Amino acid sequence: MAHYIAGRFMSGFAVMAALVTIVFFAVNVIGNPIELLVNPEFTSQEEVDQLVEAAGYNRPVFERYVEYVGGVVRGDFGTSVLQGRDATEIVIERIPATALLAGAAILVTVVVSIPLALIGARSRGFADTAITTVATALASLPSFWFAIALIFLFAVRIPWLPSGGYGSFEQLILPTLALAALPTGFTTLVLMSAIREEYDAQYVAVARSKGLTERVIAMRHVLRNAALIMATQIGLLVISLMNGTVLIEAVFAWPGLGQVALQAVQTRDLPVVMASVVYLGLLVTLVNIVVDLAYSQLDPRVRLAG
Amino acid sequence: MTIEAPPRIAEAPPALGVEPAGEGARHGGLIAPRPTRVQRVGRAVRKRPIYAAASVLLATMVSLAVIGPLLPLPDASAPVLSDRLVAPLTTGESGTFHLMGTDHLGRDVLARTVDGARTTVGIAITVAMIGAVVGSLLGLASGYFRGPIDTVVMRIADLQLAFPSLLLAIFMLYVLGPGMLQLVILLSILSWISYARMARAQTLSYREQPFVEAAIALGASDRRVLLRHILPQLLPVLAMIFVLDFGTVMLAEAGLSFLGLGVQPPNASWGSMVADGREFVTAGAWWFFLTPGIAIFLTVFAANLTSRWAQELLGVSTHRS
Repeated sequence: MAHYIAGRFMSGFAVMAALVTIVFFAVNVIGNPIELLVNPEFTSQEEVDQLVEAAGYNRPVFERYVEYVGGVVRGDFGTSVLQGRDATEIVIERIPATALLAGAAILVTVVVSIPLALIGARSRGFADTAITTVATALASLPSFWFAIALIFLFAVRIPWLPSGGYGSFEQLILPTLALAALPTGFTTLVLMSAIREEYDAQYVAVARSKGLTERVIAMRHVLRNAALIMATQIGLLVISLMNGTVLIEAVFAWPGLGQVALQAVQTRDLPVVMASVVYLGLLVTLVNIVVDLAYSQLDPRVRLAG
Repeated sequence: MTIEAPPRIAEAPPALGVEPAGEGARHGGLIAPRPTRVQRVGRAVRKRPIYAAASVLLATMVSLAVIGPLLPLPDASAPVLSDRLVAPLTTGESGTFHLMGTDHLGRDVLARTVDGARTTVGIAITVAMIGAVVGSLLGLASGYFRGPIDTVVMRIADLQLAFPSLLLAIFMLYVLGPGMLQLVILLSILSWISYARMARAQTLSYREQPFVEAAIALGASDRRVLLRHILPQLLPVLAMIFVLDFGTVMLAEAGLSFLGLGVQPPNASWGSMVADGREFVTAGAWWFFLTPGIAIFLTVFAANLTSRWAQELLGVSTHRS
């Protein structure tokens, strides 16, 4: 088990090392850091030269890379160009808002998709077709558009809920629904086919021939195995939710990580862009490690093989 | 959604003395005649009418990109200031009837949506094709040669999947600057993985098959084995992934364009049109953002259902346990 945990942390570390390196070389080799900081149309050559001198962009790339990695390890991405504050601080203080939104969306996804998948998997004909079609429809929604539609319906036409902002429970409802729609569809489809395949397994036939009731077969045998598949889905779910939050936070003015990353890109605040990409990667990697460790506890096959 | 390699469906070899299927009817109907292609399609359609309808819808949405200019719709680009934000199903002051209303510059929303199909569908098809070619070739090579190529390709894929793709795209568009070429390159970088994984998994199983061994024994080169013997077997499954990926790419492009990082003005994609319409929602002009969004949804929905149909007909499993 210790071996498995160590291996999982090592691979998480490798992912982060690759991400940190890619971010640096993308900015400094593929892109031009000066152009990423200032708009060349509105900046004179002297100002650019001053910036290059001050930030040390005229030094060799490798030297700066070593310095940058040292900074990243200490959590130092430099100072925000726009706000004059530590970039790390700006990013870190946004994590709770994103975590709240993503957590609420995961909750909705799990609560809606498990019963839907169960009903869908055990039925043939109309119920099966209806659930498959609805789940596919949810998985095909452009989330930003669905978010605007929700705002129009429940904030403009029927003014029940606020159209944006952060702080109260009411303000959480619409963003959660908008964010959860797509993963709910995907998860339902995946779980449905997983439960079906479990029912085809031989242990179900054995359980039936022993005379166990369908209820016991479902609760004791099939759902336990299907829950494992659900657990592997959570990791993928978190990654896709992070994609979704960028769009949903933009629509609802939700002060989370996605919003801070997007604003930093729009205002060319290079230190904040780099910090937000790296911290998002770290967050996703950590969640995935936790999910995998939890999974290994649920499924002895993993920890014995690992 | 992770898609796993289908179980190989090996055609049973015809038993000795049995006439090939299809000839059976002549022998007193003892062997059911093999259905013709038309009959097989007919059965598949009757079994899954919704999927069949979806594939027709997909074909329609894609063909809008080509036949759009031929449709009897008002001009999509010229502003008509007297007809600003006209509601759907009304005739503007200029005397033009607007089925889905007009935008803030008095342009017909439906006409603009049809016009936007060229950009949106064009990008999605281009990207899915680049992804298909690059991903399939990498997957074929990984599965066939294994060893270091396989390790490198699969590590890159795993690394990419460990990070949210939209954020990666936003970051890279920031570095490269906005533009159609950058957008297509970036989306292709996101799209190759599903083809590569599928092609690899399938190649791994096909390379052990007798027909591949026979080809190698007859002295066929690796290239010939891969492109002439293995690739043709993969085409149906890759086509299924293509349809699925087309929808995924379209959603990604729509999201980026909505954020103002994708398609730039004067070009308009459905995503950037939703962004334009968004500002007028609180003013009550719901039709402006609605129509291009419906176009995105219907196309992606139709693509997803069509690929599910293909998946069902091909017998591919959709989850990884």
